[in-house]
Amino acid sequence: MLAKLERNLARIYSRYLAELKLDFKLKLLSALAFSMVDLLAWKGTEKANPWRDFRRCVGAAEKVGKVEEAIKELLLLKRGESAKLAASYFLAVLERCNSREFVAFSAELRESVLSVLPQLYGKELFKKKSYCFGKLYALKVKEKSGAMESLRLSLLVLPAVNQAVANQCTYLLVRVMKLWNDDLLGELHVPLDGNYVRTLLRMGYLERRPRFAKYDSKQYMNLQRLARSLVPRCPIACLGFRIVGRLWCKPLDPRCLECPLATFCSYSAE
Amino acid sequence: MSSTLLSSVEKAVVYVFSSPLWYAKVKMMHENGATGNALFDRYLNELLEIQGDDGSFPLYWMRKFPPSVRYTIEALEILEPHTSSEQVRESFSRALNYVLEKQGKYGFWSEEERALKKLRRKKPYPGWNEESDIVSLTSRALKLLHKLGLREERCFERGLAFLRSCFGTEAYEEPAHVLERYDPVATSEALDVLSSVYGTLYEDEVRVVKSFFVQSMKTMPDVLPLLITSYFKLMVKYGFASPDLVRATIEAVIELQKKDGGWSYNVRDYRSSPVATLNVLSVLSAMSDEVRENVRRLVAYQASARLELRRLLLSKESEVREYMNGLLADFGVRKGDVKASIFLAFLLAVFNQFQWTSPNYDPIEALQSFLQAFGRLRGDRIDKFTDEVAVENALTRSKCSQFLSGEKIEQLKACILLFAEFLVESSASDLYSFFKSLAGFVLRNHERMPRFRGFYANLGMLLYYTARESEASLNDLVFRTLTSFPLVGKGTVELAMYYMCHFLEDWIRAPLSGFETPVDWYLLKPLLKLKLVPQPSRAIRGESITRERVRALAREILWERPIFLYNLWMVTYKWCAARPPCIDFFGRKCWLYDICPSKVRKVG
Repeated sequence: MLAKLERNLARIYSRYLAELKLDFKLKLLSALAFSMVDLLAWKGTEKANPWRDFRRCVGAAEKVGKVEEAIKELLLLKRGESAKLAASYFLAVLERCNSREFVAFSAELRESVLSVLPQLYGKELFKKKSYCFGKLYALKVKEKSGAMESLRLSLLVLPAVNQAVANQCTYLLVRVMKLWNDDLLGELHVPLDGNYVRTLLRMGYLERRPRFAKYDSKQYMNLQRLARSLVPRCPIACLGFRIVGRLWCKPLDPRCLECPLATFCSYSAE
Repeated sequence: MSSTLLSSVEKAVVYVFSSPLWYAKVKMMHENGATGNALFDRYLNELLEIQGDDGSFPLYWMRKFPPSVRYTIEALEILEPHTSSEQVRESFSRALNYVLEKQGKYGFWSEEERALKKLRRKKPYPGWNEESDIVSLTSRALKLLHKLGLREERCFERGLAFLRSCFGTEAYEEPAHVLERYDPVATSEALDVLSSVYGTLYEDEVRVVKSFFVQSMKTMPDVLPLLITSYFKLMVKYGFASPDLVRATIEAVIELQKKDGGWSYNVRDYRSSPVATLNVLSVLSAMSDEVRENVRRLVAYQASARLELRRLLLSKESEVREYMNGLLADFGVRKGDVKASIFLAFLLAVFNQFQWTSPNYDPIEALQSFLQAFGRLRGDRIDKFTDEVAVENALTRSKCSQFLSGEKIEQLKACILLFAEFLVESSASDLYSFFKSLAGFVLRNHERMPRFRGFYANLGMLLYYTARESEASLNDLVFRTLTSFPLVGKGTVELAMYYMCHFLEDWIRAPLSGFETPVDWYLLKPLLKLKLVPQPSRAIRGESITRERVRALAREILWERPIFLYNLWMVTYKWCAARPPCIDFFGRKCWLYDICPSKVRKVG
């Protein structure tokens, strides 16, 4: 059931992203920007459809060859100054990456991040991201899993990027845009948000609500481990819980009668 | 009872003096007449420095805090007796103009919005609210104006009219209930100023104060210290507190004192407050002449002990330098041999941290026994320390092996090997480039470094420092590089820097005020004997409150180079730990002999 829900989600995303004819670097930038915008849609704070805004904005810019500017403006509008900065920094970092093969690209991106970003960041901003920088520095990119972790951390060091944005971005790149092989799906982490956690809580997989799932924290790792135990071959399928949380398992009025997971859920039985 | 009360008072005075909130300290010195000394003059200058352009003083007299009407009034009270000086007079008149300008349309004074914003976050006492703050502030302003002899002024009359209007149509029958959420502090302050203006309290007011106090004691037992500080002074002042009530209150006050010697307004608060302690002390002083005299004596001692200690430390500087040069010579290090000096400073600091293992552990002896295997310590011979087997053998043969576990010895070995390895390859010409190259070394060898909490964040920041050129963050760089080594914590880094400051005087160009004072038992022991810091309730680990207090004291006594307060370690090393203490067999006295209240007079 989860896999089916996740497939539907991937189909919706590809409707907005796959139609765009962009080069490799712009695809990466679009994935980052789309994941930032996407999280607003799941939060329910945005009334209009932000995905449609994204496609309209990037699609229009594609014709005049000004996708970068359009994405920056969109991020400024939707997520503020730091998100716009993230796009600029990401582009600066991508300048030094030439490989397309996943492991080589990830290693190049890591090197580029470590050499370019400390020069661009102020002390306070760097201090906030120092953990990710240190972790990225200590990481060895030799195999698939190390490369995926490196990609995730390279995204996390950007301003306004948290675990949800970074994980969503890697999901879009691998699953929706299919930039690399499908065998990377097993290495993806589930982006954690309120919908996902609430559903897990109501279904009885969690005893209490995690307070703050910061990247690499104990709670974050526990939740990823849980996803891996639920769907061992493709843990990212647990993203289906997010749809359940958004459409049926609502915080104040849960619609258990319509919920596809009602038969497995103790909360609905109560 | 009396001795318990006096010891309680003594602990409280030590607590207030050692608190980092200098506002409470200055107020205490002012209230107890300890003003004619260099310490108070220094604080007075500091007070004048923090005055804003508009004449205001900041909240809690802290730099960068928003201007506050209340704290400007407090500053005016402190400055008032010193207006003979031109500078103080000018500052005083500016502050007074500021306070007068802040009077509202209806005659009241209210706090600045920015200060209120900060106060709302952490309320000064339980039950504080903005409404009562207006009454309390107006009372304080009126009290000041009354003291300055401005009774005839229009502003005074307007303020007084406002204050009286606060008590409503029922006159003085139930002043406590005038405010929506009644506040004992505001009510007592209002009554205090009214009694000062009219010379006495009316019978109705007396009755209200009595009944309200007794009633509040029953209904609000949690804030008993607050009630005592706000009401009891008034009751004692007008002589309507019975001896039994006074005795019961004193007993309660002693019982409510916390371990560090302070009080808090709410008994449930686990942290004491210097302001609450100050107010409790002033109530106790008002109750008995004996207590008042004692507080005066103790405050005078605290001020004079600080000045004496400063004088002593400055006069002993050359002696310490000589001792340090002797230490270098004992280890066979030539003066000017930078690498060997740094290595020795680092090793001394690392070996020093095991003093908790046993009272018989002597770090200098332990290090000497370790270095014996390597001969004279020279910069060009440090590569000997990169030999794992040699270091291991030397450590097992050294005296520290008796005190340390096998695991600790392994960590110590790893630490020495890594640092020696770095020194062999380093060729830095100054402190900043030395630590920058050390950061590069840590980054290259991060896999060999122990994984501690915050390791990755540390690594990230080192990456930043190696990419940037900025001497401004030298202190942070020193901490982040050295704490990456096994067995090296913050205390060890501070101590290593202290030794480096002595061994490499010419090499260290950085301002010494930037380095923190190392705090361990060697320093704490003489300070406790001098009663300059309260007894620590638990081990002094991490960033404990005791460390904070000692550092505040260091900045207070040796503001140009607080790190050298640690020179007092020699007192513990030579005298306090020795038998017999204070005077040795040759009749030589401890440095602190003349000022130490806990000295042993017997000659060995």
